[in-house]
Amino acid sequence: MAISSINKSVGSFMNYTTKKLSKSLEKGLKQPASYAAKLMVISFISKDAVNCALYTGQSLNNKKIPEDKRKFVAFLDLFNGIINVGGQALSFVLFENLLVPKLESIYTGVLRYNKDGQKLKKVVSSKAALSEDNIYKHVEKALKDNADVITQKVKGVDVSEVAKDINAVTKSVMEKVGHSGKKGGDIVTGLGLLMSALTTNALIKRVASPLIATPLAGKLSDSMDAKAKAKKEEDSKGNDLSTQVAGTINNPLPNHPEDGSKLNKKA
Amino acid sequence: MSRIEPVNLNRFSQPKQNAVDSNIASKQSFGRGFSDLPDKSKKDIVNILVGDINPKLDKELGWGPLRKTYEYLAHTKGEMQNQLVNALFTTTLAPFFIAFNPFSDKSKEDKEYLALRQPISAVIALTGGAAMTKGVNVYLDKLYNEGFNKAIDLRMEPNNSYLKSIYKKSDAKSKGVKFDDWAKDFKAKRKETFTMLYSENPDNIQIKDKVISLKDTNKVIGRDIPNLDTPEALKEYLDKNNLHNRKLSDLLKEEFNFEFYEDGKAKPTNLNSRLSEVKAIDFLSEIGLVEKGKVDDSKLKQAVLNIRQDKYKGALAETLGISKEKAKKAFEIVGMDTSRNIEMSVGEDVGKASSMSMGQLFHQLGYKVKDGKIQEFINQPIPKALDKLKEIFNGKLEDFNNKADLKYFTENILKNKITKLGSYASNHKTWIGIITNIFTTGVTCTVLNWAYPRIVEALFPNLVAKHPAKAEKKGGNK
Repeated sequence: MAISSINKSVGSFMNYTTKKLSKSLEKGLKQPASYAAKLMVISFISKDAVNCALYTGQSLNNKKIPEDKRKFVAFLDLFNGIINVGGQALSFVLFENLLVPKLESIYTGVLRYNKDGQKLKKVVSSKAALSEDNIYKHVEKALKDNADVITQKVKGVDVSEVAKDINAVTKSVMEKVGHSGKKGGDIVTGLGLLMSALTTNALIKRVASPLIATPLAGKLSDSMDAKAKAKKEEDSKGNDLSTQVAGTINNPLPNHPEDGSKLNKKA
Repeated sequence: MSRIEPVNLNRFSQPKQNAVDSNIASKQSFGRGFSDLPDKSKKDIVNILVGDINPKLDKELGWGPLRKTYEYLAHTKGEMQNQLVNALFTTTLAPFFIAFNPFSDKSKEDKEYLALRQPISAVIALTGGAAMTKGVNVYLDKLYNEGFNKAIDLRMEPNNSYLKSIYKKSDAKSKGVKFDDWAKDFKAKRKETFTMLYSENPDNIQIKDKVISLKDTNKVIGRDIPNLDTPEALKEYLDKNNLHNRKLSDLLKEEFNFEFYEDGKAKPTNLNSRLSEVKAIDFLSEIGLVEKGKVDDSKLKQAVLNIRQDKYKGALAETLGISKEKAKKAFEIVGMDTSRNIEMSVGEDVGKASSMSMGQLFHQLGYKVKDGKIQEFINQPIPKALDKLKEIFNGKLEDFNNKADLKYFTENILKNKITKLGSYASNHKTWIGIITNIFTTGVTCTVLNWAYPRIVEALFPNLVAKHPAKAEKKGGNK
């Protein structure tokens, strides 16, 4: 009973989250390919943001990391995080809007684009594998090649009459294999996911980010180490009595008047 | 510069060269064109053709491994895949570009020390992330498939990941029945059950000992449905999901995100925005009055024009006290301007939009927001609203399904619902996975912070600096 109550409570909460996400989930239904790619990038970026904050803070305070490497490690985490989050988001937007539609059109023959805030499509090739024209040709041939099989397996059907209605047949076949059908849908979704993974996670996060972040982190940590070292030296010079010359009446300190009057004047 | 036209995906309105007009052919001959065949026959023919065409398309789609990669990624999409991709590149690419970074002036040992962190962090992150994602996915499947999450209720067609857990415990597995066959049968029975629950008069449905049956014939329509095992649970379900108990507004709320107050009145701002955002074609196909993809926007606009003109003729006949036939002739004489006026009004209303919106459709049919008529229309019980729409469009819209009865309506709603809920479940799972893994990341980050220097010290002592670590008064291992 307790488990059932827990399931009911969690179920209600999940019901609530579903309603809150309903507009987004609706987009996922209408544009499954680009939505899947978007979720992949959100997954990467959300973890990178958390990693950045935690790793940087923890690395700075981690006694187990040798002291001479600690700042470098922490700054590397910080710069990596900044470049990962910003760079991946930017590259996704660019590739998703510019590159991916062009790559899709190689397979589908249809180019999707935005105009005046509307999402439109135009046919750019009749030779692409999943284009209407190509599917039509295949359907025409398949009806001829499979006439006997159809007559045998589907009762009351005259294949020649079905063939006269080839436009309707092609439309139904397109729903299965065309650019908006299962096969086309898989190709377009998979292409989007592969491009997202390569352009964001591989290119930005694993290549660009370390190449840029490593030297930046090195320079910043070196600069901070140098400043810290200079400050230490200055402090140690100020505290070391053996390096100071004691002022006396006969041997006044440099820059002080011989009568010592300035000594009595304070700013 | 040539004008870019939105593509007319319904190119089949212009038959190819040498194609015979299928409507004329089917009427003259004894055979039937594809469009006139029953749904099952159409499906069987399409399956035979697709079986023949698929291998040919696979060859045309280019390099096999790349095509298979696309298909594999599409079938396995979700948070688990995201974790694996992240880990793959963390382990392979990242160490290389850190260790051999030409732009860094750090020593080779420093860079190697840091590069080693990548595969270690990948293993820790993947272990924690995969465990969390798997746990979340299994639990969410239970919530969806047992009716705990009412917004994503998969009881009418359980998903395969949930069914596999039931199959493992069932007799079917021990008897050697294959999962695919068993699942197909299981889903068919569930679909039949829920079609009856939706379309049958709720007063005729009863439940006893977890068995749901009809009162008049005692026909069993379902058994052992999770959370549909008591009269109270059944009543609660039927109150919200049986079409006799629901208004069109309930459907609009669920399927199209319309919002209503407690008393059933539509929220004005939401009503206006949803009416303008939801396409008329989507609405009509959602409720089964047109088949998705069969009716395009130009046909719908023509139908609306015909309806308006007919209405005008009817009004003219009534005003002049003449018959409709005479009114038709009168309309033809004076109709040039009137017809054009109606065309212009439809054209202006729809404007430059490529698709007529639901609001524009109802506006043209005389149901306006301002005079409350659209509120009245959508507050009707579903069977009544369905009959009214059938009356309006019958004979005016090509391929309009005027035979849609409540059972057909239900099957269509359920078909669309199953497609929609399947997509919602998959994407909702990914979102919850992303959010829960933010917390997991915090844990794995701490584990990495503890483990990383110890592992490197143990396995690669040459990379650890020989300077003794100075005591720190603050911070330290967490």
